[in-house]
Amino acid sequence: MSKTDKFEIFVNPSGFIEQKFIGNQTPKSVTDGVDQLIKLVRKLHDQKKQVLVLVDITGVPKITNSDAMRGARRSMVKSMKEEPYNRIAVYGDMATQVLVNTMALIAGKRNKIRVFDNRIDALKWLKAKG
Amino acid sequence: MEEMFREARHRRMPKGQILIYEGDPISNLFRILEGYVKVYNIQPDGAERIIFVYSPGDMFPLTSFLSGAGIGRYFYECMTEVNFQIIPQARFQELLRGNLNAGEEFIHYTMDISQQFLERISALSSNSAHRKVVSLLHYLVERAGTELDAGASKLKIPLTSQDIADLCGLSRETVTIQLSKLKKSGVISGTRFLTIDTSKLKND
Repeated sequence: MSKTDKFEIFVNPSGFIEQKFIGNQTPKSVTDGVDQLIKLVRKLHDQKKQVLVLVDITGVPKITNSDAMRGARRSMVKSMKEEPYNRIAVYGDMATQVLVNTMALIAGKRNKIRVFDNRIDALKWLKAKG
Repeated sequence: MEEMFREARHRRMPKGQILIYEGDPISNLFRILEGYVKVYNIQPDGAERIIFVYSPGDMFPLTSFLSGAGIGRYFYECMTEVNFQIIPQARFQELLRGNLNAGEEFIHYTMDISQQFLERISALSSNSAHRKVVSLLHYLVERAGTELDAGASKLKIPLTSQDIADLCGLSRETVTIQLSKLKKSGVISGTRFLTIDTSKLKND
């Protein structure tokens, strides 16, 4: 498990990666979070395991589209596009849903990334195809 | 976004034309060049509830496009004559894929629009008729106002009391009372193309 004051990430006993962002994020906290996620994704992939990711953004009060976040957004799109995951389920508020859906579209991975407004639906989708 | 619509078809539709019906399968993305499009649903009592007004430069239907639902969630109807571009969603997606600059612009656009959507929904849920009408005027100045001089803006969309009622989720009678009050205090003037004193509106 890896934990900072902005996010925590671990492999859930059920076998999927779980990441939780907490509080307002900075460009650094987002890119650090993405880096940590990539490490775990690659680790599970190398172990020939199915790579499922659950991301909780409900603890982030405000999602911004500020220019300061441009680099962080690009690193997210890049990893959505290139990393060897099977599926990512994200849950958060409306702004989160719009942002993640748009990034998944740009990455061309809309079939592998889905956004929900609650954990139950996110888990149901993540596990259903598992 | 102009670059993304370079190969789009151009269409012109008259006022009152419904472009998308609720429940319609959707495979295209529209971008307005001139004119205004209202987005609404029909309430159980048959009343029309206008959720949003799209203006030149706007793209729709974003909600179904982004979610990949492929089904229209609202009605989209021309409020004026509308000149627009139309491109298959699949083609737009293809052009967007991997284009980080256009992607960044698209992210800004979708986030801004969703924020405005949330503000509209929040305004619609207010309990005060006065607040609803004032919030609507702020919104219309932002989306369809043309600045006349410092502190005054004229709306480019012709609106009846019934239109304003549909935009606020109020009865026409209540809206008429609120508009009379705002006229008396000098916040609005004119009839169909309202002129709004934005400095007075800010203080209201």
